[in-house]
Amino acid sequence: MSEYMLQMSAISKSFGDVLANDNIDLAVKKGEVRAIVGENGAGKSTLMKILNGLYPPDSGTIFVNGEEVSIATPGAAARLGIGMVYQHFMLVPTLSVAENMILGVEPGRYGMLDMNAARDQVNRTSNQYGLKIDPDAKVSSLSVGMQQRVEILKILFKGARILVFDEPTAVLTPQEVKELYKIIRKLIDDGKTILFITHKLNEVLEIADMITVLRQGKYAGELAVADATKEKIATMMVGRTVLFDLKKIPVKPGDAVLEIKNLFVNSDKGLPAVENLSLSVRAGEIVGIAGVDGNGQTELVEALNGLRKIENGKILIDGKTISGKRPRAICEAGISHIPEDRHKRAAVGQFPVAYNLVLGVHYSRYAKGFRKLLLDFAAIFGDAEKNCKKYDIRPARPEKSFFKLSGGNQQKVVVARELEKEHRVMIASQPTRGVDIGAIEAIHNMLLEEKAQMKAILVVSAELSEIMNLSDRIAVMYEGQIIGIMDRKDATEEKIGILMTGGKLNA
Amino acid sequence: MRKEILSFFVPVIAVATALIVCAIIIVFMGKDPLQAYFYLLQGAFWGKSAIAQTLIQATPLIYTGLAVAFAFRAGLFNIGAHGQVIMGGLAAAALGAFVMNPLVNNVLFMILLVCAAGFIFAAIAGWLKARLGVHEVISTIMLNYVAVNMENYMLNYPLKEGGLRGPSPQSPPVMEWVQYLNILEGTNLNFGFIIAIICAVVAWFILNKSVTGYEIKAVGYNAPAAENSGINIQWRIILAMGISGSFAALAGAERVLGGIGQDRYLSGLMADYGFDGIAVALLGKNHPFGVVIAAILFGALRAGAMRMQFMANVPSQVIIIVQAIIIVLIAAENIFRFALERFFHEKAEA
Repeated sequence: MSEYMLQMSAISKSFGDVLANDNIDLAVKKGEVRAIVGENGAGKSTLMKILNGLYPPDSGTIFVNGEEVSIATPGAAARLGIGMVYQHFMLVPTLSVAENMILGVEPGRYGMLDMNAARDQVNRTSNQYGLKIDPDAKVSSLSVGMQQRVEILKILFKGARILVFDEPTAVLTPQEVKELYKIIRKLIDDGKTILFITHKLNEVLEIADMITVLRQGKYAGELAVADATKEKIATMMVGRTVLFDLKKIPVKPGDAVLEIKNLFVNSDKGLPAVENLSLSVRAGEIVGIAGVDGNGQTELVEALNGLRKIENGKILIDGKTISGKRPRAICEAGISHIPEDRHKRAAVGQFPVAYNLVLGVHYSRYAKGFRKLLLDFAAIFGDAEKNCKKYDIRPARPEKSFFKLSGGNQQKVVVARELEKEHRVMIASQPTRGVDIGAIEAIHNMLLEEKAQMKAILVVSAELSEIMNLSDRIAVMYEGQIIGIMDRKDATEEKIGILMTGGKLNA
Repeated sequence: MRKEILSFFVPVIAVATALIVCAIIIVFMGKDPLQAYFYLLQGAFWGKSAIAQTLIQATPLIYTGLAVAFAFRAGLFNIGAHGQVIMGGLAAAALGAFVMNPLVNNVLFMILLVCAAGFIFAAIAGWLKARLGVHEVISTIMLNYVAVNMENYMLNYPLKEGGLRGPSPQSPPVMEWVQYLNILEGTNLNFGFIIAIICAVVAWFILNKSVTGYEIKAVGYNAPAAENSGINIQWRIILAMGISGSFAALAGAERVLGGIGQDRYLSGLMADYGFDGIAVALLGKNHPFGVVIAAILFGALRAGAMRMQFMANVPSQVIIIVQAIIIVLIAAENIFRFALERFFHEKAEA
């Protein structure tokens, strides 16, 4: 027996020129919750994928329970008692809970599936760990929190002793997060060992015993949670001091600029996604829309930008109707838009940074010649040079392909472009999703700067802390409707959490 | 810089590998590959008529290669160049032989009308995709059948030389004043080659200098992002498909007006230029100037093959094998890329 349940020593892994893991050490005791934190690209996922047998390490050794092991496949990892709960669940939505759990280890003989035995096995596991679930429920009918529970049960069923959680709270409501913490504590009581990957510092302080920080593929240090503060961890993650204070300048809001009146919008499947939604945003005000992903936020934002057909209702800017117009006309009417999905909607990855900085205004501000048919490349690259400096986009090389930038810098390019457009309204949808701490700080300050310039700003985010930090008013969206709207000073995480799951506030 | 070197090297190595493989095949036939390739080269480049023959073979491939490459930049796979070539040829044959009007009967106006015919025919597929979401591969294949049957009908009925009782399915010769000028005396090399080069420059200019080209490329790389930025992606798809069709149609016009088929549309004159255009675009890396080089290479292979067959007694079909191997290697380019990257990587470290 060894003191450590899991030891990874001197792990290195490179992809081409990129050193994703550089000589990383990790030692976790039995019964410990170990948080592994780091910015995007710090090497957390690579390290965990090595542990789970998805990548072979270039060098380094792994010990499980004191024995040196080599983990070539996820199957080998499972046999060693290592199981991973992925951020994006590995479930077949059309199958039942029991069918999902036995996938790969189906009970039965002669090629026949013994469904009763499967059900028994599921019940046994779920009773053993006190994680109640209906084995016959269809996975697609379960809430996200329950689906995660199925994932956890699935790896427990396969005999996991070391459980790796990859950003498990990203998709959960605050209440579901609390429930997950309870489950984790129970698993620890049962003698399991937990690795918890995250970049949310509040979670780290709440659930972890020990914290390992990675930075740019290297081991940046380790500390016990008792000695840790948010600032300390953030400094280790970024390598410099991070200020959590935002530069909030008091602004007296003006008249309503963006008005949404009784809006109805359908989803791709033709079902109502936004129902009878009304909201107004004033100049010099940030309104935050909180809510679990998939409650109509995407459809709302697409409708505001003319990307999705409006079934009924009206959208006005400064009293002028923009609903039913094409995206270009809406943009010209004064809406800037930071799309939620950077790769899908926001930018053309293969284009250089300079081209992406002008996407949407290329035909007006950067066109020249006969009937403005030609592009003015000198101006495009000249302005790109300036904006790279102004918005601290690194590397400041406008000719570099967009997709070669880090996530944070890609998002800065998108934000810079939208800020440079002439606009009255800024719609920021998940403005800091998948972005490192340094860039989050910068983007938040840019949005607050916008507010000081009397723009009307709508922030849609699944990240509750972001909504709480930025907003003057907070609206909660649930099943396509705004079921509560309150001033920032009246809002608490509990209140919003209750509304996010469709609950009602007493008072 | 390294990237540019790589994208240049991959086609060159593909061609070299194909020639080596075929040399082995020629050895198995009991022939001398060096001798065969000597006559291949001689037939392609030795003397005025050899060069003319190479360029004549290359000209329609430049057009169809440009057509495929241009559509590809908009994210569209135009399988329908074959049909668009036929439509261009039929338009040229009909206008050139039957319309008596000084306004229509001049080369410039003919070119414009042929472009319009190709534009409209290809834009059908673009419209189907933009408005109804029909995949362009399906619709262009179907439109190829439409064009092939149209050719049969036109050459057997309305355009048939000598009316219904005429001897064979072919159109009458076009009038002299719409025929393309000869640019190399004693050969069939005509002004169509110059127009093809101009088309390559136009394609390059549209793609790299114009607002429209920027938008077409944005749609090709990432349509949702283009839509988000206010670009009307439906119109861009239709336009890109139409321009692509115009390039292809000019290939048909060149075959009819350039004196290749005795200044008339003969049944089957359009061979497989449309499909060969896909290979040319692939080899040219979808770059307009790359297409010109690739088309001339394919033209040279075809021109040289005849001499190779005549002098070295190696069947000219061997060059079809060369072409096929080139296509397979380019399509599987990642294998190469990987090997080459390692090669350059190690060199950089050494």
